[in-house]
Amino acid sequence: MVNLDKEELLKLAELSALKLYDEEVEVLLKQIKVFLEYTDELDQVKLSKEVAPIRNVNVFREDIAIPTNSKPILEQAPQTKDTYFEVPKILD
Amino acid sequence: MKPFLTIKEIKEKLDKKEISENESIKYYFDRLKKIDPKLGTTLEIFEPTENNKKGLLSGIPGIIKDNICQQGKITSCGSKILENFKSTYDATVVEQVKKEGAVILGRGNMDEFAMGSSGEYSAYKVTRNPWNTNCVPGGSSSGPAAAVAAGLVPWALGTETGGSVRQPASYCGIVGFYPTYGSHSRLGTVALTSSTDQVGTLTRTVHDNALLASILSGHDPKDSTSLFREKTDFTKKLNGKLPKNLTLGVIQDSIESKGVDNQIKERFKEAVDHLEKLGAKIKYISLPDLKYGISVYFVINRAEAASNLARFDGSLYGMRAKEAKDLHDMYINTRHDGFGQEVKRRILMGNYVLSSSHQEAYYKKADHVRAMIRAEFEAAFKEVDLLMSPTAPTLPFEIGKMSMDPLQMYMADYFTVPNCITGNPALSLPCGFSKEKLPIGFQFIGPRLSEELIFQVAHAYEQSTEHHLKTPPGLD
Repeated sequence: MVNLDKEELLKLAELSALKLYDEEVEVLLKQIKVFLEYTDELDQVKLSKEVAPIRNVNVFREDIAIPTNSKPILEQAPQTKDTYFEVPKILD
Repeated sequence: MKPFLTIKEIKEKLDKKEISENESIKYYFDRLKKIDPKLGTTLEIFEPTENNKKGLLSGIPGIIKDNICQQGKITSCGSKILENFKSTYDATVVEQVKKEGAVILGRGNMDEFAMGSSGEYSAYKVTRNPWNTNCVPGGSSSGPAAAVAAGLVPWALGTETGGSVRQPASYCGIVGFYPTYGSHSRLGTVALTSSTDQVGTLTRTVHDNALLASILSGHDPKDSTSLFREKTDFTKKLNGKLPKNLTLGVIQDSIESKGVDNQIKERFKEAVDHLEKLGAKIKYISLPDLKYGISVYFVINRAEAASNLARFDGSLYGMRAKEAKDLHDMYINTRHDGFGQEVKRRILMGNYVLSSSHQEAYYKKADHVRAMIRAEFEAAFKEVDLLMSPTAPTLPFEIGKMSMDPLQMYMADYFTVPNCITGNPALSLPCGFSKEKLPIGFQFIGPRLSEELIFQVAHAYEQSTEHHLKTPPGLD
């Protein structure tokens, strides 16, 4: 059963680093509920005991340093200082 | 030169010296510039540059979907948040086509971050279907599919996560291919759903598609999900004939389901009959868990998208919102200004199904059902060599008709999602038209690593029919 209310949606938005306008909230609530109700059909599935979820395996390679020119990468940043990325203050 | 040539036909003209490589490239550049404004297939057209390397694609240009990195070019993913982001390197697939002499003529339009099945969710412009410009071309590889269908380029690279190459290929009347998961490198391709994303190939014919897939084959040590597979020439076995003792399985649900348009059912049945006449044995296969594919995909796609899109926050690259009192504020404002509605919707859904109180009910269950669908496919492939179904349940719909009804839009991927979540290869090709003259496609789904067989069977069908020879009206 889906129980998603306005308060929970706003909390989700905050955790997702998203800002929602008041008029967006009602529309999104409705659309997300439709989606979640559709996926509720998975509740009817009798989960097979013979088939287990697929597990991933990590594939490693040698950790070799390759010289890279950081200039073009820094040029893509919205704000830089010397060879650093610059962002607004984190703490007061 | 004339429009709607295939890679193979252009190659023959080049070999016979009827045209030069530069003339061919110039022809497509001019055609793209002239016709693209009507269709919106690209976000940028590039002036042709010289490629000193010589190979299978010399003088045969293409376009690349805008979520695949091209060095020095913008890679926007159809989103405002990356409107000014320039890639600092070529994706491996771009390197591969350039090594074969290719000149790339543009960035293909797409639904924002590959989220969409119609091309309407691009933050920049809508792409139109060349067969009827009031209709959508399908998505999310909307621009690449429409450009190839309109003969603006002979080939394009797209990406597919749940149908984003095959569904637009079907809507536009061309060939689209999703390889075995791990076959095409994803280095330099922007991630949506990492457990299903693959680069896919869009062309006018099966031969051209096999050629392009051959160029993209082989292991990439820089992609940890890349299979240890030799480079393969998939064109070798294309002789226009079906292999002996071939058994094809028709997915029962696809011909019985009420959700499938009747005209699509008819064309599909004709294709099945045709293959039977060519000598294939036909079996009808019931795959009861396949119907949960969409639900499983909903959950997995949203969950992985929410995680993958967390990196777009304005700190290292792309757009940054101007007003921000602190770091978190900057993240929120940037994402608010930069992401469209559909992207926000999917991030919210993804973080909902991943939250600790819902993970068991949604994500873990979806993950288990995903394995069951995979087992169901494996069992089916003990009885048949390949499976078949229509590619999409509906005809290309009118622009604006579905965009307010996301659930209905998601259903466009009903037949293409299952093999994406299981990592099986599949190819869509044309099987005729509706009475409204809109293209209809069907698909072959194969066991993992069965590319060679898929191309061979699809080629035999194509070469004994004429659907692939039809071209959209008014674009000569």
